[in-house]
Amino acid sequence: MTALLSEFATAFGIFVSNLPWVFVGVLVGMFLGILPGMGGVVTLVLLLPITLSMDKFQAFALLSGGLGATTFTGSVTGILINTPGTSSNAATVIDGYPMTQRGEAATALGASAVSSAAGAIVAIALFLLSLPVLLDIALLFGPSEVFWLVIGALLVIPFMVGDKPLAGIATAGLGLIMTFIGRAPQTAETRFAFGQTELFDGIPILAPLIGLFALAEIFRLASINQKTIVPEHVEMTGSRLKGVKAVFKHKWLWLRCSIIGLIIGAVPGAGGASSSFIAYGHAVQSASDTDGFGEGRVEGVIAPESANDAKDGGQLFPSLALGIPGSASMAVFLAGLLAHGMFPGPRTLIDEMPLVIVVALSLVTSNILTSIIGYTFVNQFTKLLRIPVQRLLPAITVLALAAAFIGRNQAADVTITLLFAIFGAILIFVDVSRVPFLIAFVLGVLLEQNFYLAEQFAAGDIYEGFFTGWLNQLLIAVIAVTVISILLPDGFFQRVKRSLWRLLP
Amino acid sequence: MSFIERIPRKLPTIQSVRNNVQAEAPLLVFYTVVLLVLAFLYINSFSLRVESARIPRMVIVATIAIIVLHIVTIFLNFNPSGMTGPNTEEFLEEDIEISNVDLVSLIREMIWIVGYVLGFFYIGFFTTTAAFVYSYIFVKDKDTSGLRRFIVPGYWSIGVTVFLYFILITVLEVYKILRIGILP
Repeated sequence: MTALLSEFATAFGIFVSNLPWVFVGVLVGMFLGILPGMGGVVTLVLLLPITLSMDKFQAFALLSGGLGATTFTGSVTGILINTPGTSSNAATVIDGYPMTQRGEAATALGASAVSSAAGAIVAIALFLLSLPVLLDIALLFGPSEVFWLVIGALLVIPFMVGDKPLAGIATAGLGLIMTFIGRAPQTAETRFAFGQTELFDGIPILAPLIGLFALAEIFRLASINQKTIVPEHVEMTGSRLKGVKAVFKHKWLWLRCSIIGLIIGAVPGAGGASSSFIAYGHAVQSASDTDGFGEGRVEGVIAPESANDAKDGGQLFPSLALGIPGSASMAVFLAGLLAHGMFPGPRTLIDEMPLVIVVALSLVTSNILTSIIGYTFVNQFTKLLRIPVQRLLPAITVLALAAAFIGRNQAADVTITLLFAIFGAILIFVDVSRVPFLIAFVLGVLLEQNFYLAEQFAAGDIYEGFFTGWLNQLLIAVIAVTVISILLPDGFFQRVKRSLWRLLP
Repeated sequence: MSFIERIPRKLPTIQSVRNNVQAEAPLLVFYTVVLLVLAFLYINSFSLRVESARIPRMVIVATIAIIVLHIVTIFLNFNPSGMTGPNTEEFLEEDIEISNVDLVSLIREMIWIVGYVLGFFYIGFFTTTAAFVYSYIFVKDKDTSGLRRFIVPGYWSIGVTVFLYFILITVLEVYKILRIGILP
């Protein structure tokens, strides 16, 4: 515990010296996050190559700043123009936009800003407090346990993120195959490179990130042919202070919804949208008078916004403690660890504790800064929404391709990125999620390395290496139960329970 | 509905199979190409040492099996989406509908970017960037007219090129980018 406190003190000093990078990340995140369709993933993908010339603390302060900023800015467009910047802000629109129509836009934005920041503070404070416990858990994981964790993530996440889960698992398989290109960890033999020297060290981590997400997104936005994000001028009426006071008035709702967001965020793949909709549902159920929900009640803004930002803290649990990304943004975040020479997984907590603390502190600071800046300069930010999309897209395109080059200073990386962009556009066209591919690409290295390590530890005995030990068996059971529960009919357990009750005398 | 409840109780009619195949035709074409690539990689893996090829071969076989299973479910009109969680792009944190993306527009956008990359390699990064930003805005942004139609893309082109020069050369010192192509 003393060692942990000392690490916290060290990390706090590092965090303070890197505060300017958090601020830069916030500004970039707010700029990109306010443009619907861009969001957290694109922000992180564009920032990541720039961080390669920085030390790891500067890099992750910048990335955390960007990540925290996109969540609140998405609600600004939701409240003002009925278009949420991210799906996590979709529930906010239900009452936020009617408030704008009623002339209370500023009140809704004030409530959103304060509940967002407060939700993030609760979640990240709980994450930091639970670090001693998480550290003990991380120490239990050896190579075979990490192998099962990765298998679990690759099998379960596609079921949770798409309406075509088999296609999701198949694209995860393709993502894994991409990680096999280059030298084999066991033998250093070159695989699937077909004589291309640029591929001997494997596919650069930035190429699929920029290609599949930033460029493929640009293809999609450009093909929609939208002229501007907001066609008309938005009137900022109402009192922001009234919105702030409303959060304090409904403090228990805000706290409960923050905890809902934290718990849902900690489940890999559950996503931000579910946390905010469940929190909204809770606000409706727990209200003494349900009249007016959907017509502009401030509780309908407070509940989803506090859950939405708390889920960022919740996502730190699986992402940093286990190496299993809680969302696409966190998958890019973990790719950032790889790009900076660190391996995501339980060892991150053990080997990189100061970095984990810097990330948590940067994330909470980012949420607070975003709320303050957003609260103060919301009028100026909405002006960005009137810039024609056709002028922004070429700027983001050239930035993305330059970012692909920066990674290794190799022109071939731009070609590889372009190929991934075309692959991403094909996946968009056939309506298959790109997220399982990304997660598999990030976790693929872990899968193969840990497989060989576990096999070596068990002297080549697969049963001994992977199926013995309580944690291995627990993980196998969790994967089996999760997959089976997905396959079972809805209400199966209730029916079993009812049948058992009938059997009792 | 869960996985088991979605299993069809009766064999599908020829008409329903035809409808499913038509609806998922792009995915089936995509799968065909992927299966061919996977088969090629599988055959290629036999030229590797056993220790290097073991895991890749297992993953290739598993992926082929999953794709074949998905093709079968498409023919049987059975969508095994077991959970009522957020859909694909909610996880990606976006809100814009992914369906109904126009293929022609998508290909047109790809051509723009392929053209830019070719210019990047054969002409030079900064020259191509300035030309690309100018021509893209000039062609696509039809809201401006008269002299402004020529001036606005110029502002953007100069702004973006100067910004990139500042980031790449002044801040990150990526001088190698100046040596690609015949011009800077």
